[in-house]
Amino acid sequence: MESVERLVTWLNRVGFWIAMFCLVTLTVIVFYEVFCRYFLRAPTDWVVEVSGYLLVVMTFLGAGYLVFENGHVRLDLLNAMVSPRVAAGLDLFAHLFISLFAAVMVVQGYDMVAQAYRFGWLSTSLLETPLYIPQAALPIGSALLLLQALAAAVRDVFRMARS
Amino acid sequence: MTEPLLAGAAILAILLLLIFLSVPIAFSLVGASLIGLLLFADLSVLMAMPNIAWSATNVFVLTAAPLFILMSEVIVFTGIGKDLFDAIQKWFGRLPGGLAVTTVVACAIFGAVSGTGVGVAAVVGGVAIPEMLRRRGVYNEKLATGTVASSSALGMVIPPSLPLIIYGVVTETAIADLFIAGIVPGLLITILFSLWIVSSSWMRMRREPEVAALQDEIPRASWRERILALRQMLPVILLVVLVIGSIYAGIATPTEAAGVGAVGAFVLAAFYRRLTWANAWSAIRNATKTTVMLMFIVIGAMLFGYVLSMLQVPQSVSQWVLDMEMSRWWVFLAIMLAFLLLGMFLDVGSVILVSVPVIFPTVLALGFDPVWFGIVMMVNLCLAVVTPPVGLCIYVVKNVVPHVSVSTIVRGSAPFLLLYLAVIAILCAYPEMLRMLY
Amino acid sequence: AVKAETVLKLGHYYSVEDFRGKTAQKFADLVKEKTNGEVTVQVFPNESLVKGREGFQSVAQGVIDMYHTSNVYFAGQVPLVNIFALPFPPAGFDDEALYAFNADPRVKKIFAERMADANVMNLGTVNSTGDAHMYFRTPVRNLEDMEGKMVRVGGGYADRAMQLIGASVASLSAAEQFLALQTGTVDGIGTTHSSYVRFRLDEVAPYHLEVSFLRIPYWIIMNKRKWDSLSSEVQAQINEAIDGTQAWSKEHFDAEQEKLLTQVRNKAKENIVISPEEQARWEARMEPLQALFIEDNGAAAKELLEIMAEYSKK
Ligand code: NA
Ligand code: NA
Repeated sequence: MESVERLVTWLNRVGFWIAMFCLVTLTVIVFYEVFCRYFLRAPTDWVVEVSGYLLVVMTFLGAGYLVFENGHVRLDLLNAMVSPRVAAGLDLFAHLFISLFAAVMVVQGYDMVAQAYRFGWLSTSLLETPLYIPQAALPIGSALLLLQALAAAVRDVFRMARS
Repeated sequence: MTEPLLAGAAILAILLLLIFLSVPIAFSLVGASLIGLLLFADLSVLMAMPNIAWSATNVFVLTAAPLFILMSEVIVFTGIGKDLFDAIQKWFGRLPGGLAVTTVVACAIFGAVSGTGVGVAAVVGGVAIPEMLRRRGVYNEKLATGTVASSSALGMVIPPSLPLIIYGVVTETAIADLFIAGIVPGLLITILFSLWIVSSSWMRMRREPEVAALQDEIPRASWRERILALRQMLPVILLVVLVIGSIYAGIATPTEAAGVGAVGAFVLAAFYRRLTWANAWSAIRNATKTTVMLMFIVIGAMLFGYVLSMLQVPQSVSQWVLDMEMSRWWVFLAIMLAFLLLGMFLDVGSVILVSVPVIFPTVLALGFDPVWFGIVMMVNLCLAVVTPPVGLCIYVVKNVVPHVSVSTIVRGSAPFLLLYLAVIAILCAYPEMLRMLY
Repeated sequence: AVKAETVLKLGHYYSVEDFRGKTAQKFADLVKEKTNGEVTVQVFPNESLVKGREGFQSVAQGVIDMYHTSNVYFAGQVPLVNIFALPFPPAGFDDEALYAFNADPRVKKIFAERMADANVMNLGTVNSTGDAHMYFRTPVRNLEDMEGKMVRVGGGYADRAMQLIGASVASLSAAEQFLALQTGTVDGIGTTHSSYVRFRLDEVAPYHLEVSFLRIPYWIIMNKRKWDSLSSEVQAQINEAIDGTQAWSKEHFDAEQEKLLTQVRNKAKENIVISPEEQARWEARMEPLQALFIEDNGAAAKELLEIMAEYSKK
């Protein structure tokens, strides 16, 4: 059980590293665009579009690890007032809730990507990016999120049993 | 009450319940939307979820948020920000609430750069809050966090402002007029905030001698020290000039200016030999965390907005207000209350897009000036970024100082929120002040 | 017995006051009228439900039932619509010809096939951009002045056209175009009369180059599964509503365009008209685009271009 949780967390940590890498890339390319347009008077045709995609990838691949780090902000009011057992129960509820959202996103997100892939949809730009590539971040990231939220839920159950 | 209003009330109740049960804000929004769909629509709308998540995040203008957040983290981790506040301390440290006043001014300056409160809250909050809290006793958590959270919205009023552009486009009002009209209220808010901080800090010192004693311990700097301190301020001033200058010199768009700022922060940190692999890593790591957290709230808010909009809730609230057939100023008051309410749950852009088209014809019919109304509305919507549950600036501040509770930040913001309302009242009494510059 | 009321959600990205916003409302009113209130079209303006960029995909997935949109917005999904994005449409291809071309059974069949794959259909053409002109911070009078100018024209083939003319293309969000022009981040913009007036671009791009380079139809697209679920009676009534909307639009659009053009000319600091010889030089630069369009889209593209030529002669 614990090794499964470690594996899930490791996968999400990798996802988070990719998210960090996206942020660095975003910074570099936005600066590059400014440089090209102002100093070379030759703007790129890809930075604006790719920036949007990087933000998507960053958001979805980073989400699961944030569950591990308790980084999704919440109101810690009831939590602080109740017994540890009830608090663990509340956490369980929250994590199951996140799992539900993530599960819907995996299934529906897969449909969205499959459609974009099947019909060969492209972005309406000079770049003509196949849309399924950046959109794939949604189901993949949501799958990571689902795993991490379920792992956290299992841990909550043990916490409830112990206390 | 019409049906959409009932549906809206039910969904809001579910949202508040989930938040109370300690479900993260982002997932409470998503959950309330899902339950709302189950109750009032059919589940085929589930398909909308990835689509909305995609269109909510694949937005170039939004990249300004992570870039400003990264810039702020670099300033914090390399200690450049601390230097700045040490220097400011030498100038204004003896003034009651001097650092908080500086914070307000910094928010106004950065607000001139970015139209989004989130970026300002990250940049100024990351530097100012830890420095104020180092002088705990003189500056408490409420004042430090409340000042940043509530002043960060100033940029929506001070030009250039993306929300004002959206308003201008939706209502076909001259954007240049809106920009110019925003300057005076922006300054007025800055001044009122500063006066409030100085007077309340002064009164607190009179009431609590131990605070006064702590304040007295702050060494009085000589003029020589003050002048020398200016050198310490140089890096951050350079950065501000770089970011603002790049916009007004036509080098970068406001979104891109955030990227210029982030790269500039790294370069300056390297120049001052403060950049190490460890602190670069930490800065990127923290900025990523904050961004992901924010973006998920944005996704949640978009989904929530989609459901409300589909059920015609904001339109019905607006229509309901208009149908009450009240006199001119009562209608105005009701509209302002509706904005406050919508601003609690939706992001600023959504509030404008879904409610203004409904309300605007009445506003014109009642004889209100469109430029004046736009500015008054924007001052009102400054509150939206600090009113829970969807108050993005609260959460940015919360990430700067995780040990401070959300409710402390909200309580700290309360006096400033009253001042925003006071500014609305002043603008109602003296509408001509907007015309001072054009 | 009371029949169950059908509600169809129609999205668009214009303000309610814009001519295209009024067109959407007209369509909704006509549907209500023709179906005796059996079908209600709920209009969501200002991207309040679905963004313009996501219109096609949202209709395909059934997130929204209908979307009123410029068809080049989904050039990524149906590349053949790029025929409307080929700059400098043939002489004589005015709004009348544009509507007739779109209504030609051969043209309808070609587009219907491409869209049916994605579960989307075109209900019909209800608007056009009319002429789209160019606007600059400094005067542009000829091809030479265009050299190195940084412009925003809104993607796809229009971008390629600008590159062929010697300009460079900057991508900006619509929200940032005003500021970008004000500060000189970009030099010019190609847009409709309506947007020029609505976004107050005269304040920042006062030089009006009266070169018409695009004429794009606006369609109301619909989720095909939803359409198939309607009775044939209701389908016929909706088709009538589309025809009625088109007639209304034709009747009022010219006057609207005229009014807007007058406003544009009054607002602009200088209105620059180029000679037919100069216009021919611009058009000559566009030749590679047609070849590219055929290369990208094969036989259907060729057929569409031939049909378009027929309509320009008439
Ligand atoms: Na601003
Ligand atoms: Na709020």
